[in-house]
Amino acid sequence: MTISKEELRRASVDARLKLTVEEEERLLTDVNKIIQQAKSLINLDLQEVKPTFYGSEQKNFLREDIEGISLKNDEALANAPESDQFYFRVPKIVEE
Amino acid sequence: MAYEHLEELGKVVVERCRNIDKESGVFVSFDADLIAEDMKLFEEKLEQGEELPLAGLSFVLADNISTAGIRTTCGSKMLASYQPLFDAEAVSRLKDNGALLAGKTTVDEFGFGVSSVKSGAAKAVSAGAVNFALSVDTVGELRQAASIHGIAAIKPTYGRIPRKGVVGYAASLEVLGIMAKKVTELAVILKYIAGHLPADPTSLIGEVPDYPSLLEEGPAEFKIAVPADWSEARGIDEPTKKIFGTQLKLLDEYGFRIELVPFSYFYHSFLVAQFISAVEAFSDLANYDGVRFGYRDGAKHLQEMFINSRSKGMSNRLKRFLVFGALVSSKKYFNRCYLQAQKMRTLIKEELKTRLKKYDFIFTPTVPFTNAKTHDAYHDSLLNPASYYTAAANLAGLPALTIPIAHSEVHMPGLHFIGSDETGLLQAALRLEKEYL
Repeated sequence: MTISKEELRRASVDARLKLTVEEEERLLTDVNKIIQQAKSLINLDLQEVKPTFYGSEQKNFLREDIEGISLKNDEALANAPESDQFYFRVPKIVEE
Repeated sequence: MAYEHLEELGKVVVERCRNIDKESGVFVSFDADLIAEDMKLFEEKLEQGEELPLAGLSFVLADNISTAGIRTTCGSKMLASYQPLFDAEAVSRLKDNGALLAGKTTVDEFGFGVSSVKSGAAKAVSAGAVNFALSVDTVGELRQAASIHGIAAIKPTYGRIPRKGVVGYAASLEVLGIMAKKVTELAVILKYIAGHLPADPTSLIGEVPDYPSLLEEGPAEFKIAVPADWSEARGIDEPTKKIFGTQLKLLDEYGFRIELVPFSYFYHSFLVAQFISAVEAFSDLANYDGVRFGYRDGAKHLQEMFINSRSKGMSNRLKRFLVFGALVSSKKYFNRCYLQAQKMRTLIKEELKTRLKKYDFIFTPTVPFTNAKTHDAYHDSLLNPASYYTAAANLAGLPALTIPIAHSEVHMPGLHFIGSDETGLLQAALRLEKEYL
């Protein structure tokens, strides 16, 4: 199993990130080394094993459905790079 | 300490913090006026008869733990000016009990990995500027930083301390942990910040033991399992092998019955954690897109803004990690890498739990290197074996503890114990601290 540059580029698009040529090269080397090191793990037959996705075995629970104070408008917008009175402002969504 | 001396103590803390900051750049946020105000407030509360059991103790926070109105940068350009609206739950609990927040310390970006330079929390504790620190442990960063700087640290069971207010990168692995010089301090602080929080469904329900009062108890002898192939760790250096080998013999004299025990899956844990944490980071850090908070870069349209903001707001190291996470969770590699890692996580967890039925602890070095420079040399790589011994506890959600070896000729990685519960770990660590270190 070898990862190609094209696969890395697609993954960069998924992560909404742009890598420089040097970073891409470096990542390609690192990723293929990881895959190489993990070969014995990847090739194990674990069909019968259930995955563990969570940190604890505690069952999820639901809180009571009681109304409470939520974020105020100005608090929600306090850290926004750009906002107007009620909204986050962003550039145009449609590409010209 | 008499409470009328709190203001004086505040001044001492300020001076010590300034000294260590001058020496090795520890703080991201530090405000001497705020310290004076807080101490005054604590004095007033005490005068009014309020109980503040932690009054007189000071602490720092790694800068990926939220503080209301105080910048929480997470060591990233992405959040350089971000000010949370609330304190992390653990911080509220500490303040409510009278502990003084001295400042926020340097941290590697979003707490991903640990370098000797940016482990500001451990530096502040090690230098004696404050009594303790809180930091995040995802694959062992807290314990590794403590080990590099020669102090003790506890990574509690997953969910023991509420995660509300922790800006993490891998939700199923990360916990808040405590660093201090003394085991008793770890026990005291854990008592006050552990315990369920309804707003955090991952926090554990149940009584919190009175750790400090249980410290002197415990069995006369502890049974310890050491992974038989401990010396085959990736990246392990000769001094670690030599020193840890010697410790194994010495510990026997102090009631630690050590057995070398074969492990089949433990050795996969650092790679498994690498796959899982990368995928979780790819997901957990997806909201840093320049819309609601954080750095925004100019762009003609929204998609371009996402990409530009993230690409310029994050370091190359973090970006490589996130792209790796995106790759491993893509359709082609999901089953082969990510799901396979999650299945191996099950086996690692079962293996540890099986061993912990027969033995009190699993014992290893904390990191495979004796030298902080080796740590830093690996730091920029995605193939960093620093978490070789620590990641298993995060994968299994089990508590673990590191304590330094004193009187060592070289900088020794700490001694690392994985256990079933915090009480046992603290008891064993105290015994070592008192009789041996």
